[in-house]
Amino acid sequence: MDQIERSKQATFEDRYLRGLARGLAGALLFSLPMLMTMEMWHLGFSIPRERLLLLLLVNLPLLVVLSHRIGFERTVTWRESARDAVVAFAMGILASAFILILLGIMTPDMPPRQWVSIIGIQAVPASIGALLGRSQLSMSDGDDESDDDSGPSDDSAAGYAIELFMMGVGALFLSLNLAPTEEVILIAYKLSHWHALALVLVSLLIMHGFVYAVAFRGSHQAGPGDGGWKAFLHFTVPGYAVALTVSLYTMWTLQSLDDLAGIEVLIGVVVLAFPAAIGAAAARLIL
Amino acid sequence: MSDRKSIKNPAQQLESYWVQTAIGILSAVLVSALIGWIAIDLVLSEDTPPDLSVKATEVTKLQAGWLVEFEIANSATETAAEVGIEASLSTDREKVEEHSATLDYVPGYSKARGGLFFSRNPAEFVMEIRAVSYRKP
Repeated sequence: MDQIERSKQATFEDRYLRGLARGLAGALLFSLPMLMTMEMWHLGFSIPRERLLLLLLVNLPLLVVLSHRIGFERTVTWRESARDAVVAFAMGILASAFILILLGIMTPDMPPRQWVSIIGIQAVPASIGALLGRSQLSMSDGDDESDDDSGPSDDSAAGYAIELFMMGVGALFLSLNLAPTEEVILIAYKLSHWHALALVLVSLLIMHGFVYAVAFRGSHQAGPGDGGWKAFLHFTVPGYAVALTVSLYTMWTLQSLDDLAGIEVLIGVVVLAFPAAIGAAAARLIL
Repeated sequence: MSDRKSIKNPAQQLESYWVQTAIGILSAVLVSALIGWIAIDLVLSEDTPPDLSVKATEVTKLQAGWLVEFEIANSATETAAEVGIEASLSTDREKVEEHSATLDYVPGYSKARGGLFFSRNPAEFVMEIRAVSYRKP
């Protein structure tokens, strides 16, 4: 009896540790592009405290819901998801701090409040990466049965909300990677209105293409013939709206939109929403 | 993701359908508003080269000199890049101090802010600030 108990415990710990390792790998993988971006370091100096705080506060429930959907291990209760979310957040912070020190970006002569700002911003995508790492880097072994019965049925309003949420996470991830860079706002400054309208159209088309792919994969949609107008109205358009909103929020947080006139803000958001929309659609397909 | 054939609850399905349609319509309104705004702006405004005006907003005494904060506004549609700003303090007879600054971007219809440090008190002189150059982005 004793031996079986011990080996069960060992297997559980082994699985948990492997989950953590995958999470750490995911954190590094998803956050390295941002960790090595100059504008992100400068944001450590310039980001207003309130915006950073809001971002970190928003990140927490986001991680909890994400963890409930695809976390480290099979999480059945919200409490377990919350625990995994906090662990992912911590891993994001540690991974970011480690890389920033390793690359010499963070030095002992910088004031502590700068450390907090730089790490804080980086920790958000790193923590999302930690959770996604578990889902993406996992090979099929025993603890992946949880992928099959996660969450409410797709037929319900709650299932729909989760779909939109996952699109939001995909959009957030891509927009956080791109929003700090000067190139996004530079494209927006140079863009003609025709280009902007074309971007909106192409974003919607590409998203709808992904929605088709999801429908034919057969695992999300309940009804036949999905991929037509119904899918467009229910998933493509709301998905793009989510991408727009997330892009607007990210650009505001990273101060790309301060002092800008309305039309410039709109075009900036449209530019960022293009990759964000693809991120949103891809997230729904992949995750 | 979920291949499980869930027990189809017709009431749930119907409720979900209406929720999805409602969200869809709301999103369609948002996206249409976006397209509409851009299209209207396209029709109504014509491309004009940058029209820059600078004004000093605040003068502060510092440990080493004075800071003049300024705001530059672009009332045309085109964005100006690498905008050169020159400021001078003068008496009746001569220019006493001159400085320049560069701003990365002043977008169309928008503002940008910056500051200049002087070693004399600007209040005692005639201060002039203006934009002198820009680059097309």
